Amino acid sequence: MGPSSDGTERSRTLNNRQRLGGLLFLALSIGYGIVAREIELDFFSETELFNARTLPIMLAMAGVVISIALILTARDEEAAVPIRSLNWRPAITLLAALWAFGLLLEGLGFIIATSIFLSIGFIVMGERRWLRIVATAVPVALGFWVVMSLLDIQLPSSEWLIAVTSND
Amino acid sequence: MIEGILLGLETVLTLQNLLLVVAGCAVGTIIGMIPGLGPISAIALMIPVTYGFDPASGMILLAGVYYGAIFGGSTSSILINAPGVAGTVATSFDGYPMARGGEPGKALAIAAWASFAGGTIAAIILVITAPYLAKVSLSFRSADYFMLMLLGLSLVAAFAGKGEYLKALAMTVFGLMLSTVGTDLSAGVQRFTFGRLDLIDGISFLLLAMATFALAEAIMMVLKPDQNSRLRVDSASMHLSMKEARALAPTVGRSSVLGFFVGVLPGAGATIASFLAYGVARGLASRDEQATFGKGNQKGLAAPETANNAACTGSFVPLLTLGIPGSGTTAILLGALIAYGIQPGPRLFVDEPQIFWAVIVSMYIGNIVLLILNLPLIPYIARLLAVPGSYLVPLILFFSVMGVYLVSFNTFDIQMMVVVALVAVGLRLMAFPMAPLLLGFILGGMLEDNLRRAFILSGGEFAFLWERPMTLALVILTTFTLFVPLLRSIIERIRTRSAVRGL
Repeated sequence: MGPSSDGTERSRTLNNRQRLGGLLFLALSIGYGIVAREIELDFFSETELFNARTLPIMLAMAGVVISIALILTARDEEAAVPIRSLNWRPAITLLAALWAFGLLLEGLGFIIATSIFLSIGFIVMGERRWLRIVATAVPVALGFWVVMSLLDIQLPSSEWLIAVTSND
Repeated sequence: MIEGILLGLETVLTLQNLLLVVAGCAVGTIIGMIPGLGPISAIALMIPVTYGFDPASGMILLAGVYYGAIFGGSTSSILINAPGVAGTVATSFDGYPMARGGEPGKALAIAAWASFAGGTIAAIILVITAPYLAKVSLSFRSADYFMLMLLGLSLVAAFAGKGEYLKALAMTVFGLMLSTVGTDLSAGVQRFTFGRLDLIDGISFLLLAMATFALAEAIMMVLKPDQNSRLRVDSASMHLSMKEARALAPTVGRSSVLGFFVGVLPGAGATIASFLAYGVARGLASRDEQATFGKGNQKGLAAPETANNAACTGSFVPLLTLGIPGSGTTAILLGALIAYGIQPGPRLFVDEPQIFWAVIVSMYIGNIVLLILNLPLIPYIARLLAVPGSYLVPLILFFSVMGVYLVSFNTFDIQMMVVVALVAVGLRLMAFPMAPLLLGFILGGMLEDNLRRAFILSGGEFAFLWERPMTLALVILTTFTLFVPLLRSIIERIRTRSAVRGL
């Protein structure tokens, strides 16, 4: 949903962040309303005045009204989203690394996954001194793990490492 | 009242709790000092830590974090002109020029003393008014609660600032929408889960708070890096003379009272309080003195600093007495309380007075600790500002996701946080405010419960909205808050259009 996808589009609507926001919110409200109408109800609650659908449908209607107001009252002088001047690459890489961290945390184990994630993070942010990267990432991961172990909190251990070593 | 304070003191004054206040203030100051991270992020990051303690201790820690974060925000406003929090933007107006002018130590000392004075005066007003308000609010019924929440939500939008009203309203509704995800507790049906098991319990408020604030703020730091020159502080310069203190006293007194009452209003909070106090201090100054505002005037620094702390204290009033948070920060504190199994509101004062009073007393102790701890330590803490962003950002990301993961032990949450953070960054870039989203999300469940109850009690009629004078008054107030800014923006729009045509 990030506004990066319309980087080349220079139309009047997308250049205005309030109008763009209004349009996205309109789409969200309509989608939400459609799903809200399909919330499953049992026989009894279907006849009730206030059931699981009531508030969501009210919210969807409120959302549509607000987004139309947003679109209509947007001023032309409202600034565009400054897409080009932003440092997208490191930001997206960091989020992608975080996503991968979530995906691999249980497979690689906490210490390995964290050390790798932090190292990638430091590199993405422009650090190039390898010794410093490793000397920060690994102690943080180890330290966090030790503190959690002391608190009796079990962090994922390396399934992969255990599998490899037990096969030998 | 005296018994209450004693009860609070009894709860707070244990070695463990005192250490928690100190730790909370220290951690809060450090996090709040990082430009971009405010009290909401600081509290969100600390909530998982508090799960190991009893509720009173947890709240004590979080109250310390709150004050610490506000103070930390002031420190970075003064030293590097980069307010960590909206509430300390006004602090930078005169604080940064003072620091640049060679008095960084004195500026920090004024900030610390002004915060302390604001916190003290506001705590006194709170102690006097809160039990009374709590008693009054015992007579509230479901319909009143529903309308109060609606009023609170619309006030947040109304106070959002010029041109931000509709955006804040949209974010509130978005927050309410997100709160409906999960199992509907009254009928047991799933809503908006799209068949995913991970969503059956709904979205966790901690996940939402952490992703929309801590994560999104860290990513914004990467997207828009800012360059600021850094100043060194040495402790010798932090002395404030008696004469200077006396000259500032009236400003501090006025700003405390003003800050407290603005803080009580739902939705107004520390930011508006600090700007108002700055405006008042400037307005009351002589013509000659007015010219020095913005160039390092001590009153211009003391006024917003006092007011933002007083407003923080004031914002606890609706939270503790009604169970309705008036700001993003109190919303997340409410979330924490609910997670501990405590429902704030008038019953809290009756059923669990030790928590009610412990929070109030700990807020005050937090203020004292901040003064004792921070004043001498500030020169050292300020060096943390030199930690390069290249290390800071990945660490913030790591601690944010671990905070959520350590509660659920579900890696799906980490991925969901990435998605939510991405959406939040997009919304921030479109200048949509995040606090109303959090507020709507936290209030959503209670809002629906009370609306349903009011509906059922009135036999399915909308009559509950006007049957009791109390409810009717709230309905009128809410309608007024909702439509006046809307009408104003529509009229302005038509005017500018016809003006363009007329040309």
